Amino acid sequence: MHPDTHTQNGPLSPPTPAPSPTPGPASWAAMGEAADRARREQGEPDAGQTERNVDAVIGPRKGKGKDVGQGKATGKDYTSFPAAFPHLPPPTRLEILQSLLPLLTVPELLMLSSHIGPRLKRDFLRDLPIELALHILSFVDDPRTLARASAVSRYWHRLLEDEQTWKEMCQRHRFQASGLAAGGGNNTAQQGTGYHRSSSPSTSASVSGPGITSYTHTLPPPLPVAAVQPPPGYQAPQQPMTTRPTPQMVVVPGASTMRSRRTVGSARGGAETTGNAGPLSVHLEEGNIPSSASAHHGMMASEHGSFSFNNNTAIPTATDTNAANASTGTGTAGTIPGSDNALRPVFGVTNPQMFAASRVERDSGLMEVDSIVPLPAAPGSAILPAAIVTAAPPPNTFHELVPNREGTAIHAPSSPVQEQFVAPLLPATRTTTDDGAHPLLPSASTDVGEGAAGGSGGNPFDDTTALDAPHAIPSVWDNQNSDNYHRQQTPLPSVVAAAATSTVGSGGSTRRESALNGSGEDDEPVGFSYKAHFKKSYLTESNWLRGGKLLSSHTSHDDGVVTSLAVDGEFIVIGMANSKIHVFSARDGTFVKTLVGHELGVWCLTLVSPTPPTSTRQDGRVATGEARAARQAGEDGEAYVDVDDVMEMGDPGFFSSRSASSAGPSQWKKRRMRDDRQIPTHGSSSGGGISYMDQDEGDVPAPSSKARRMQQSDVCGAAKGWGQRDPIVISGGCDRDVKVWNVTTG
Amino acid sequence: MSEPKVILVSFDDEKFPVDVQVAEKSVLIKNMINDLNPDGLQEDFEIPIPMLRSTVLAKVLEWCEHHRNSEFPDDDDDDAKKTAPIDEWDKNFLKVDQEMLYEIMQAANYLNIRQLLDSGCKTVAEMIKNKSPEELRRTFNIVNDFSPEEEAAIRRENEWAEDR
Repeated sequence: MHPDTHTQNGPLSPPTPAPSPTPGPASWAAMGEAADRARREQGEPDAGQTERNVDAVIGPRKGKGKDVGQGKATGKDYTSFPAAFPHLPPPTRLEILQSLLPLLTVPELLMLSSHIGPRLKRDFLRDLPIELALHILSFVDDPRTLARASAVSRYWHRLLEDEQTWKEMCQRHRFQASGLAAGGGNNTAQQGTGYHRSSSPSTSASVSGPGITSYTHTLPPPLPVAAVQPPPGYQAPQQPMTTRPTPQMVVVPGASTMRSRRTVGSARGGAETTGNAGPLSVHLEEGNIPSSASAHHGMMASEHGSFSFNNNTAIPTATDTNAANASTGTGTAGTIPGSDNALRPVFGVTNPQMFAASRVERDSGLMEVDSIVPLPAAPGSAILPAAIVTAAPPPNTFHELVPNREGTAIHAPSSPVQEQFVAPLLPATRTTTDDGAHPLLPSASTDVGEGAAGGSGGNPFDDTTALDAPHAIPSVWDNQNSDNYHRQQTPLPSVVAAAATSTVGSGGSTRRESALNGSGEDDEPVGFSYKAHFKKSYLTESNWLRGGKLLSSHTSHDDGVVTSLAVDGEFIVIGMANSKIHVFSARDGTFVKTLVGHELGVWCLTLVSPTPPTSTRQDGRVATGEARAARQAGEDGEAYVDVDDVMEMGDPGFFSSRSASSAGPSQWKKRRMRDDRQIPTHGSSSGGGISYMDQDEGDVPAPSSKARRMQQSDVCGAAKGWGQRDPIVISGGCDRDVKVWNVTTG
Repeated sequence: MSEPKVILVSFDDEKFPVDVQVAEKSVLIKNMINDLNPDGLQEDFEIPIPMLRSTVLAKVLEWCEHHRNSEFPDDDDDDAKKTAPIDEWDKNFLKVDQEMLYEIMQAANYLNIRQLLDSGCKTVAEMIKNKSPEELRRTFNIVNDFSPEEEAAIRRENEWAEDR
């Protein structure tokens, strides 16, 4: 044996140095030498035994494992050994360790095991190829686990940004993400019901019926912007944006597009396509100016059409349209899904603007657009398969919007993979409408609900943005995060449950509060990611399930059935069956005043929030006239149709996907109509009844002619003002009057 | 004469003769066999698999052997697949140290043995489930490489996921 060893040692040692690049050769040589010496000097028997062990294990390949045992004994070797060890060939190392094992004492073994244990752990997610890691994650069915996992390490965090994972989670929980294929979400449904309940009394009776009125509005010739809805599944040409003909049509798909949406959603998963960015940017710029002008027109028109102002949501304001276009373009109009996305933003955006488009908003909108433009430059934008690429934040909240957008803008260019989400809100909202608030019962409440839903959808934006490029822009990220956090955590101060005492009773109060809670989360518009969306949905759902917390309650001194309520950042306005309208402060819940004037119960009301005086006169005019107009429209169930430019309100039952495309807008429109079985081309829409405009949007369909819902702003039941200084309440009563109040002065 | 066997050769030159049916659990091997033997396997067929250590290969083949007649649910039925609990036998089979599990999963991925891979993924998913970040780090020996600020931000972001 021994001779063997020695002879083998000779030949073996030369090759060993080879693998060792740096200090290796020297130390190794030294060690080998030392080991040899050691062996010679020291216990041969030991060496022999070791070797036998080694032999047993390793068979033919014998190294000089036993050296080590002796090496340890000599101080010299002891120091050089650790340095040399890494350079030994694997079999040798094995031998060495093998030979060491029997020499260890129990404490040493314990020490080893405590050290070895963790080192045997595998960071599976990191070590496995990324697709496997994601595959693993797809088996994790607990969302909270996923969320927690993202706090483990940077790598995990990044891994958990993966949209596909969250998308599946959304589907599993049936949260209707934008276009997600999942069926009506629990969450959304719940929201819908909740909202519905709270406000339902006011309108349910009034609603005329399921009939669909498609409202077509002829835009003034100048209107350039058109968003055309292609039929679901229809593939939009890639560069619609660039080419589009000057007179563009906006087809506003009215009602809910649930089905189409779904389709889209499903399609989206697979198909997110990258669009042509280049053309887009150009387009956008062009679009802006004209659109703003057109927007006004649109608004006016819509208002006239009125009933469904809400419905009108669809009416693209300039900004909106732009945004939509932009988004589409960004998303790259290529596939319907993309286009769909693009459109959504429009809705979201439009809503707020509906009433009075304020300059600011537009501006912000523009900013947004601008910010988007860079996107094309970012190659990543469309690329992520899972990511929905769209850039168009629907601003729900006016005030917050601007900062947000800015943030977005900053963000966008920097993050290669941008997933901008267009309108998380929409889906949720839609669902709400569909599930909870029936087309039949378009009520003010719906509006509220929708607002909330929208809000919920909106929040994600911050997150998303932040998440997208956390590393790239840490500061931004942090800010946004904190921001977002803050927002989420702080439900609107405005949440007040009014009327615990009132007839509504405790139940009522709870509902309201919950609704409000929902709204509290709403404020943010814009970005979207499945992750954020999921978070939002999940939170919303759990909040609904738990009934939320009663933030505050207010008891008004009058008893009365609350028939309607509207909320904005400043006031909570409640219409009561005893013909009074109570105004509470949204901030502290205190009672502000009572508006008296109706002779009979107040049926429904809308609060028009004051907005910065930036808006144009046009808007104002429209707004004032709107009530009347709405009423009229509601009563005759008229639909105006212009062949070229169509504002279409769909029936909620129908779905339509909206996309903006340049090519053959009219054609698409027709096609879509056919598909939807809507008859927009004729003056009278199929139902001839009330038209619900985008219910999905969260706008409340006008319950009755009297009550028309405007786009609600950030919060429920309130509409954006047109620049007036004081908030205004418009109420409809059983006395057949529609009254317009100035909230501050009465 | 018995049926020809497939002989899989591991990284360390260990040979594993197995039935064709067993070997074909691996789509990779199946394709290889079919591609190289268009007329069917006439004689023993040796396939080197230098990716795998013999211990791992033995493990994988053990699995294949056990599941030689198993019917697996439709691959395309993603939902069913995801929600299905881990096969009891697989569960025990995969009660190995993490390193082995890791190598098995890699092998399953490489050999394209879908069900084994899924079982492995589920096993890991189970390990991940319902653990706090700290526990996860301990479980997988992961170093927390967040800066304190980042960590705080992430904690806030994920506050909703904490137990309440």
